[in-house]
Amino acid sequence: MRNPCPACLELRVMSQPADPGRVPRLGELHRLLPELPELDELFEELVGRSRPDPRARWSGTGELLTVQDRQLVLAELEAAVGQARARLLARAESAFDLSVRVGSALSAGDLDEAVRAMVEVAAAEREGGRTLRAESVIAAAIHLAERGTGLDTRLDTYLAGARIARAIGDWASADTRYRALRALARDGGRPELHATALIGLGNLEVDRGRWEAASARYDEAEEVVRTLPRTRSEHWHLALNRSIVARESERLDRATEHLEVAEAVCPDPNEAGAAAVLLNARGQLLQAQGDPNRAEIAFRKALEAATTPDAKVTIGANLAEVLLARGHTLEAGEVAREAEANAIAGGVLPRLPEVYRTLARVASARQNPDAFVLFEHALGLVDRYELPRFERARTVAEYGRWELGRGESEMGLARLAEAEALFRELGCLREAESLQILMSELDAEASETGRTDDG
Amino acid sequence: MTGRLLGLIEESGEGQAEEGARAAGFRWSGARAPGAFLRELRGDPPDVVLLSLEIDGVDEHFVRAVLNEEGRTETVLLSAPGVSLDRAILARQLVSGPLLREPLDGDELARELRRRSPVTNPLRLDRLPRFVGGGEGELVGSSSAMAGVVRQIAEVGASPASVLITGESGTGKELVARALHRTSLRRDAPFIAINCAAVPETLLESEFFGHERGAFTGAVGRKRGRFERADGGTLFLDEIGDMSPVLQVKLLRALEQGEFERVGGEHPVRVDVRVLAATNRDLALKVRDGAFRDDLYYRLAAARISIPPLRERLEDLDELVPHFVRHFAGVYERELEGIDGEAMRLLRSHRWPGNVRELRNVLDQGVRASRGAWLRVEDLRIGVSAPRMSARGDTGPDGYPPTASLEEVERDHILRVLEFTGGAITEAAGILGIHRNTLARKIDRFGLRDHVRGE
Repeated sequence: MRNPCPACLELRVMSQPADPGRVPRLGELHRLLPELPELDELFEELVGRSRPDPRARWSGTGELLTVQDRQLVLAELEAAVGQARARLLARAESAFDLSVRVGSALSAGDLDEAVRAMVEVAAAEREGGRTLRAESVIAAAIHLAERGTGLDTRLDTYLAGARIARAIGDWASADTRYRALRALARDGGRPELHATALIGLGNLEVDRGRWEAASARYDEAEEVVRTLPRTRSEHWHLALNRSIVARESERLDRATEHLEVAEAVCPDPNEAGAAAVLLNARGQLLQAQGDPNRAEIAFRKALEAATTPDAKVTIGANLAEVLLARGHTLEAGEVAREAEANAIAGGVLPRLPEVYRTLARVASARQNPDAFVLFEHALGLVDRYELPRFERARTVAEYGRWELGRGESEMGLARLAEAEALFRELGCLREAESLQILMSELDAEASETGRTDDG
Repeated sequence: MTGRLLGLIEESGEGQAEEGARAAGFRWSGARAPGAFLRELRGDPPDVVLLSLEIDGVDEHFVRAVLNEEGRTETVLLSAPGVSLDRAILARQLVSGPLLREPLDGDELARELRRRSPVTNPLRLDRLPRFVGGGEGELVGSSSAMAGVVRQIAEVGASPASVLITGESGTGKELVARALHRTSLRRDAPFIAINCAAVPETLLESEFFGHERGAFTGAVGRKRGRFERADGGTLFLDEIGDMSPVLQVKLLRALEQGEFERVGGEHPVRVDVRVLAATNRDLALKVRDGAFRDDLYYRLAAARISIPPLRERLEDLDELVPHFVRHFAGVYERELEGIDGEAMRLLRSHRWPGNVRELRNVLDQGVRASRGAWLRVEDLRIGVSAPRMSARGDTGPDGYPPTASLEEVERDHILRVLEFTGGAITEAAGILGIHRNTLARKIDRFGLRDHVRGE
């Protein structure tokens, strides 16, 4: 029987038989929760109020811990339930307010006001990490906007819609919305949004590993960005993105040039947020250039400059990777754990799969045969947060490589095949092809071994 | 006497020098002339040298020669009564720290010697023999307690009997298991380990016995379990005390019959596996409480090896510390001469609740943090209760960040006191000034029961 009522849930959790002196783990509580999206609020609240299991510190399982292993004392559990209930009620109230606002606007024939209200709600849902809900609201808003709203309203709606679709990995919808934004902005004489749309279209290609297509989009964007005042952020954003594309295409000299342009045109490169982004890009470039020592320094500075939890998680994961590459596995693990803590404290739990993949690589580098636990948790979180299928594909691909590394050929190949199919379905041809090559090589090795054995 | 001070000073100051050296725990040796001084410096390198700038022949070139021999500016002391300003400035440029006044004051010299390092009982890596076979993953320590463990390994290693290895977390149970495997006839076959506490209950059965394709969601391919992969070799089951009753039954059946079925499989799989198990729990007590099957217990505990905690074999620190320091100095590319006396004293005074694993981690972090030729106290982040410094160093006087909750501070302080008392609750309650029962409740609440010694 399922019961979505947090108050009833509270009673249900409290009625579990208690083991005196034992603090329950989050995973145990989590299993008691019905699988309802409404209870995501409660789960996030529980995670934020939990703490690492102190006994696991020296138990030998420390490097395999995940959010599910965190502990929650009774007082925090009570507070979490109360807080989640208050937030749910507030959301219900705001949903009611919205429906009144939209209904009033529609009955007054004010389509613009109705759409603006829906865009606001979608933005709030996205900010709260509820991207699927945000998508359903923004899709309705776009539908309404296309029935005849003002230019500004339509532009805002398409932009919000494109960003939300990208966040959930729905690249087809994101592409359609950015194209609509491009046409509307171009015809409406709004070059800044025209540039934003073109940069957005390029970013979608980057997401799918289509470097040449991304370059072409950014070339188009450059034509428009040139017409904008030098102080506009589009200048350095575009240069930075071009640097990323050049780096991924292994044109490292071009990547350096673009990054230097980004650093030069950034209006305030010392501003913490911009500094973090630029230093992170510098670190990635240095890593690609085979200079992990300087990459490490750049990532450390970037981490110091980072202000948002999101940036701290990403840069932390990058720093952990470079430390891992340098063989400093213990510190790599510590840094990845800090990234995990930032994701938890900052309420950006959908970033955790990325962190757990890094931790799995750390555990694997330390020959921990139980590293699969971290991959399993990463996959569990991908499912729980209905993250983009691209995220699942990346996790499954890494899991497969790990299985192969420990001699589980059949299992590893099955996982690689699943990842390859996912990448192909998503249009990420570069990743799909690299996996296909790996699988073909393994097949060839296997048949070679077979021939040797037969002979 | 734990260190040596070699001096080249006016004869009139030797009495005070000897007195000051003795007060700081140093042995004094005085040379009469620069040539004799250099010969002695090369023949038997002292821990600290003392030079008077008033001695004929002690000039810039001589001091530079001494520094080159000694290789460190921080262990050379200079004294001068009324030398010219130029000479004093030059001296300060060559050697760190203040000039000592002349005539020498024994107390001032002692203070300076104590402040500088190495002050007491340093460990010089080049003067210590390398532990035979002391690579990563080897058992290190020649205390009588460890000699007993090594003797037991030799006795039961070659037999086919299962062995139950007990010891606190971090004592090296897996190392003992690996040593047993190496001394057995199965040494050329696989050694497969699994940490039963680290693997979620839902995955453990599949990890033990493997699964067939499609046996459950996520079973993308057929997978061999650890039993199967250990065929012909050794299977090490760590943290066996945490296994669920259901899995205990399946494990017992596999051990008794030498066969099992993969999850979702229909045909039994036969294997020849020697099982070694380890636990940090009192398994006999769990058997008495009915939480662990007695038939499985006797099956696993045909022979038993108990590993002593590090606090009961502190003499092994003299081998363990250089062993780990050498290892991490290699990893982090540090040129360390040794561990200074203060640092060794700190290491010897700690109770090591996390045992060798904790020591290893402390030295890993310490070597990484070290910047000079000697590992010093300030490089060591010792004690499980020591909170991490934040990146900005914005911690309070006790090292806690301002965001630390009272509960965190309370928990860590209780843990620190329990470490100090060796886990004695009554003594800890006395120090904390609270009733024993109150402390017991807090210990349960904070999950610190593992740090309590039975009274």
